[in-house]
Amino acid sequence: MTKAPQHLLGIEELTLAEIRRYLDLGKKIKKELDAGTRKWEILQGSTVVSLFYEASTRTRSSFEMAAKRLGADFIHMNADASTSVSKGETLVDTAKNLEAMNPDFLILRHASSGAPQLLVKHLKIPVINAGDGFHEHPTQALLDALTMEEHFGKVAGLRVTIVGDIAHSRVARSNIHLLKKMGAHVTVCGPPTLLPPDLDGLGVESSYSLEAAIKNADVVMMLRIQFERQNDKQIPSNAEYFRFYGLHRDSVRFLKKTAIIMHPGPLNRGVEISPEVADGANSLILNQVANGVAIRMAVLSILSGGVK
Amino acid sequence: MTKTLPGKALYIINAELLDPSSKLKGKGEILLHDGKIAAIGKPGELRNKAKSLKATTKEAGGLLVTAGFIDLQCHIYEPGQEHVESFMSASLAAAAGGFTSLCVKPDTTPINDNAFMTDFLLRRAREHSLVRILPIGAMTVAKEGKRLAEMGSMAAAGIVAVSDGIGISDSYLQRKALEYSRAFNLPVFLHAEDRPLMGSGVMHEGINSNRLGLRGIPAAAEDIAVARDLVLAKHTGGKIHFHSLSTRGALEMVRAAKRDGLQFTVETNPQYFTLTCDAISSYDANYKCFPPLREKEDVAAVIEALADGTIDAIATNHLPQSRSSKEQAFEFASPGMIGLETALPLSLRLVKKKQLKLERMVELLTSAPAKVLGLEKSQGTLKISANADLVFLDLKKKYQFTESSVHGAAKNTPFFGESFEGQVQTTIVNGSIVFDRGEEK
Repeated sequence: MTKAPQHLLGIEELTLAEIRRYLDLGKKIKKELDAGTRKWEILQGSTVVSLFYEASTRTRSSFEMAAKRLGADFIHMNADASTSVSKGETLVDTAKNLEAMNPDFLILRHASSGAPQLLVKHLKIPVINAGDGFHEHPTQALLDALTMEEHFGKVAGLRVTIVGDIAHSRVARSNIHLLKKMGAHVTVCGPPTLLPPDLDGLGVESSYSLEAAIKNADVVMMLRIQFERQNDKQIPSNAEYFRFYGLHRDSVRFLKKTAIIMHPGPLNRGVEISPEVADGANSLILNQVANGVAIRMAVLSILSGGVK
Repeated sequence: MTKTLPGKALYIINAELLDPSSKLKGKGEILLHDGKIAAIGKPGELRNKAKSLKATTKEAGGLLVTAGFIDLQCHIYEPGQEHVESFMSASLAAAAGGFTSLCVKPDTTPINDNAFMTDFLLRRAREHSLVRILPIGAMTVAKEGKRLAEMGSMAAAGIVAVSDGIGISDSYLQRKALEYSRAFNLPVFLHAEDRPLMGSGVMHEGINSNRLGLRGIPAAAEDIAVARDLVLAKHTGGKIHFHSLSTRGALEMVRAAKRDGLQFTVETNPQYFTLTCDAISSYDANYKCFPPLREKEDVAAVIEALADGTIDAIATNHLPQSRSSKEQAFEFASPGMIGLETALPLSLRLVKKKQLKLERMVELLTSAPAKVLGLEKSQGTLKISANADLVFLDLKKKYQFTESSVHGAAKNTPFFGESFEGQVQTTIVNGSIVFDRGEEK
């Protein structure tokens, strides 16, 4: 039997078998959730601490829900004005102090790429990356893959187009790694200012034309325009962005009837996606959220060593 | 622009045709129909076809007939300062100078930095201009060099390129503009100016500026800008075009970059192959322009670059100024000179001195600028089904250029009193005669 992995920091370093293990358990848990199971005992007596240096609604509550369903206690630390971070404590010190209280997991979200890699050098407990800068967001990519598998049966061979600020997106990076490993065909699309250099090196195609990028796609993943990561030298205006790169009544015509629309949230309605598209029949956005809990339960279970 | 009545045909006979884009040269005739070039033939060949279309016959009288000229850099202030130059006055000057398409810089008030303004300009031009108006949108909002303008929306509304009025110092913003413009395949027209290095200079820095006690602009200000933007073009893949190159150093870099295979284009303006800064000795502000008039060796380098293809196109840089803004102490006078009606005779001087072949000169004014804009199928050519925009040129005509020679509203030019050889006789836009010198009183 494979040894339990110690951390989940990113998708890039995972093997296909490791990814498969998370997805298969996630799928099993999802079935049990759908069947009405609400409590498990895998993490009974464990404590999960989440340390978030960035605002979050979905990811934080999803991890909390996952931990509590597995029977763990959950403590959330927002690294904001109400904590010692505002008094100048460093990331490593904060984490070491939390570790001294003997929790069993640390979930970290941080605005800087590589922050979880720094922490694991100093901590003994398992660390789960809940998003670091614009590097990786592994549980998001896993829940996205689970959503695609649920809908299409398999990810291999799917044509997936990711639209938006690819350069500054951890969701895009984690998804590109995961989708490539699983055999999907990945295209990224956005204005040239928001596409990173050397996309060929990642094995993805790129396009500046939304029509060309989505007309053959099975999955269109819309990314949020991240105001907090932009400066106004990247795109002229939200209006122009929406016109050329948004999914709306005009652009949605280019999609195949069977295509599905995904979005990691939170939505900027009217900036990258119009309300009628976000809430339309092809949208799996809320399925993604539901799968998020199942995948995070799977991740916690596997990292705890409690599930073989 | 003049509307063509559907079905209207014009039959041009006794022409001496010259079109570098289709390797056409020699006696012949042209049939224009529905605003397009319908047929080209040997003398007499198109007579029956013309008859069946009930075409009006136009005698070219053995004059040289070429595609209409395309100006990549023209400044017109409508709306804003129509009293200095409007679509009406500028387009009359253009027609009299042989230009049938004008790329208009975003010098309007309000500035053409959004799709609504682009749309407005095109509507205005349709009503008031005799020639085609191709608007250039601002690259940054209000040309302030701070935020990207809505290039995509302006492209959808009809701009042909984006450009700010001056060189952008912020390399990051310039990079982003070159990247963003790629999504819409828009050329970025650049002024090769390192603004901080230009300082408050008013003329070329050298012995003349030293002697005259005027603040100098070093050639390095142009050379550095060209060097940076060539590097950025290579890095971003953006489609760049340099306005108004004037220094030997800049042209050497351009030549080397083209030899290395970088795709970009370059224009110069007639003053940079005609005048040197020696002319400023009189402190006549009509000689003030940006980039400034350079040294003899720079002029020689420009001429060489025109001939060998280093420079792609001749643009007028027609920059009208009111009389009062030129009647100032040199340092306070507004820069620029009008150019629509002097571009042809000044270019022909190079032909006469055997520094430029006539075919090459025509190419520099027609098919080459069309190619810069990606419009080579419809403009700057006499190929079948291209726009019926053409000019009759009387290359032998000798005359003295005076204030009354100017058809435009602005008169700021240092060339009054000069003897010119070569003149536009007739200009046709969209199949209609918009200018005919023979008909003038």
